[in-house]
Amino acid sequence: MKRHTLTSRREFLRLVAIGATGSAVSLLAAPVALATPPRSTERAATIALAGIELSQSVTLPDDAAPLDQQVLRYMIKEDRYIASGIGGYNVMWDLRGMLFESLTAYTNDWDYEKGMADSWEVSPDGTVYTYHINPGLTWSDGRPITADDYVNHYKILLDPKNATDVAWYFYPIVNGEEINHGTAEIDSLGAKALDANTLEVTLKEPTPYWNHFMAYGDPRPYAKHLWDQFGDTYYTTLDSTATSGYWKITDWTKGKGIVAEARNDYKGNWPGYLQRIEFPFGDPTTHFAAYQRGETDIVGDIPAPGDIAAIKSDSTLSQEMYTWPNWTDWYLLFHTQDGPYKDLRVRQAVSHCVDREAICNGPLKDLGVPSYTVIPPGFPGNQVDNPEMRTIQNFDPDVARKLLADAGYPNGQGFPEMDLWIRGTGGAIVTQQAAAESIQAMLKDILGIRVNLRPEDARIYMGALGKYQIGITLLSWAFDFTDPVNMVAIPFRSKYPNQGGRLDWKNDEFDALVDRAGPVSDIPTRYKMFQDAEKILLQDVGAVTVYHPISHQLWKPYLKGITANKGGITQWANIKNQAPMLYIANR
Amino acid sequence: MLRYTLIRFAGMVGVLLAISVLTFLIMHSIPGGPFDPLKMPVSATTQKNLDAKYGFDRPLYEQYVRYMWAAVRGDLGVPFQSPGETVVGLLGRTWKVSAIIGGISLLIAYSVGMFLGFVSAVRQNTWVDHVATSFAVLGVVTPSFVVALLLILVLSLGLQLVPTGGWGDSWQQAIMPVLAFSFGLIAIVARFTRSSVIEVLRSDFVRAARAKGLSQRAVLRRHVLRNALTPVVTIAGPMFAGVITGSFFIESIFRIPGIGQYFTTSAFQRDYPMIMALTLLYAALITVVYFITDLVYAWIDPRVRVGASGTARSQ
Repeated sequence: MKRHTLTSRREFLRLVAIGATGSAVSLLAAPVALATPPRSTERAATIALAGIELSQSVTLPDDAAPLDQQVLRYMIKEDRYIASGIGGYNVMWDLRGMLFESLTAYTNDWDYEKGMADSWEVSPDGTVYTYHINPGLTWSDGRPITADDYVNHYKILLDPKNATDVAWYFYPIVNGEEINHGTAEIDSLGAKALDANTLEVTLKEPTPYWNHFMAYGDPRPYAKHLWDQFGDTYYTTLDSTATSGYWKITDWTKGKGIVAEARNDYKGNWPGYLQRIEFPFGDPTTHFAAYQRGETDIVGDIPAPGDIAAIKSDSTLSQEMYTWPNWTDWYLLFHTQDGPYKDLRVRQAVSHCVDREAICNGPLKDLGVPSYTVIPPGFPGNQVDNPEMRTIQNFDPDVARKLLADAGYPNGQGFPEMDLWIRGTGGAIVTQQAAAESIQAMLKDILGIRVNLRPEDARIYMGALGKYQIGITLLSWAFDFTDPVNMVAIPFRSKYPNQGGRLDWKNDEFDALVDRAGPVSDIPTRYKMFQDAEKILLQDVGAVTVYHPISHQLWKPYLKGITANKGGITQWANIKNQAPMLYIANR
Repeated sequence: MLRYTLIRFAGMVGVLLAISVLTFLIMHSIPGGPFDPLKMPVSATTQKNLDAKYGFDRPLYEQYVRYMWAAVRGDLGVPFQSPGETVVGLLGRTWKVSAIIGGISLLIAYSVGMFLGFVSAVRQNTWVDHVATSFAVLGVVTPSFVVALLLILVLSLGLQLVPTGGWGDSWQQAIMPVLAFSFGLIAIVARFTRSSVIEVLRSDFVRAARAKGLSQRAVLRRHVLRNALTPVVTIAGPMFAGVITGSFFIESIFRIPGIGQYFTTSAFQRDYPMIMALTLLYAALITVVYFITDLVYAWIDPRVRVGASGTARSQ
């Protein structure tokens, strides 16, 4: 009997051959295409600007593309809020930095200049700051920006009814801390609107960094009238949003992106060149692929080492990448009130057994630089070039072993096995995981100390940290504003035994010194005091610094306006006043 | 039939209630809360006020009852992850995206998968079978995110045919997510179909049909196909519930504003309203599809009748 088949062998073979050939061609095309990625000077498409009023008063730089091509695409991670403060750390940072102005504005060199305030005075005793706000400023919905907006913003952040973990920034304001702890009335806050355009802020003591802090993100005000109308859901939708800067948000589609366009009614100090900024949403791990395809013009941070390696090996992309050591510390902290790390010799042993050079030349190659100080290279007040700082934490296995033996744990014998806590699970921060594994190996190989890596959910981690329940951990601190108080005092000044600090290490000399240094306005004296405090911290091993991560960014060659600062670093930083300088150049 | 439906509905309500209690208890037993600080601790007064504002200071049973009372009236609360909209609003805008991708993927999975499985079974132990089986194994073992990344590499960056991701701008944005999603599903359907068809091919009634002189094509079409469908239908239910609720990996990699990502982010962010809503949604979907599956059984196989006890069973 003849067998009937659904399809002949010849037909099937023909189909499979076609499919296989097509697949092979595709697979071969991929590496070729990656070796010659889309030319960065070409834009994926000219973006239509139909329907928007172009700001005809803009005078573009000579090399700029025409006004209707002044469109930037900047892919960002979607988050809950545009407004910081009330959003805590659930904020779209880059968008906030570009669309909202601050009283003072960070220059490219990390000095500050006028922002929303045209001028200001500081009282002779350094405690009263009086800001004169540009009277022409309006929110993007047309309502005037007044001093009341600032006062209201500070009150929102300090009001204990609101979920914000940035209130502590505003504790220097008179009654700020008391209000947040519920022991003072909200209207007793030392921030007042003297008139519509004059804001007076009274601080508890001289705070020389205050104008630096005003340039930072969280003090940027949001519209009081929107808070009155929407409460804690303000700045979560298009209808509940009004910006203060040159661009207004014209479209906000959840899950898709935000579009901002230039305002023709802007009368502030910082108009821009760009006419439209599109912020498509995407997980940061997808930004590099989108950049290659021309779907974003800038990548603010490249998290994946594989992408960094691919960029470095590509002749075109490598020219578009910018790197610098970030002003972030990664360090080890210990539980010092009891247990083995209470002994200074044990902490010193750990400090001398961490080979920072090997970590940064090995698993963190191109991802981190060794850290021997808490004030990073390039940061105001740093003493990175002081040779003494290297010796405090230098890698010396023999000294490390001797110290541990003197402490009663020769070769780690009798040393309890502990968990080395890491904040966050899933290895999301690659450098953290690699550094922790290296430290784990070094502790075991050099000192005989066994630790188990314990990646922990961020919330559980922070809860344990605040209660001083963690034996040893690798943790980071990133700068907020450019004053050494931010790197030395704020993270390390002891709060123990009160809960809420990051570490239970307590050194009275250190605490007293940073408390005295805080109000000092003479810069050289101030810096010297914080440097001395930094030495005490490291000599007493309140922390073991390990590395500063290297930031990697990409932007298209036709995107101009980001220039090198006086330190020779070319960087895109969302809290710097860089957005008004950006423009699209002709090819 | 009406009695059967009512009994099943009552059972579904009972299941959902049990799941809601279990989910609520587990959710609150996990350390860490939705407003725990991420950089610096909040003051004790702030924490106390937050707990009061969101009702976390009330006894658990009271929190549960309040939630369920609002839920049955259609108020599933406000997601902590997206405070500017309601849970219902968020589900509405995200679910349809996931349902589109999942639905298309399922259609492709079943059409291609059943074809592959069928051909593989009919040409059992030939090179056709080996190729199809190899493909099926590859589909099962390869994680969807690996497929997704390969697709981006080849189709988007290599051949420049489609964008790297996004949604809502062009139909081309759906190509890669659908391909990535359906790859593994095709493999599963193919394997089930192959096994089922082989089993039916060996049965007596097929032998009898051949003995009567029916052509191979007629045997396959009239006798084998329908009888082989039962296991394939069985997996359709949970597969359907799984695909139309999206995939965290697919949606993240392709920047799809679907519902899948929220299954993961809600847990990490302790977004209690979303955790409850998503769990109940998924549970409701599963119970409904099982119900529909039972009805489909009865249609496919006349020997299966819906019983008075509320179950579908063979007679």
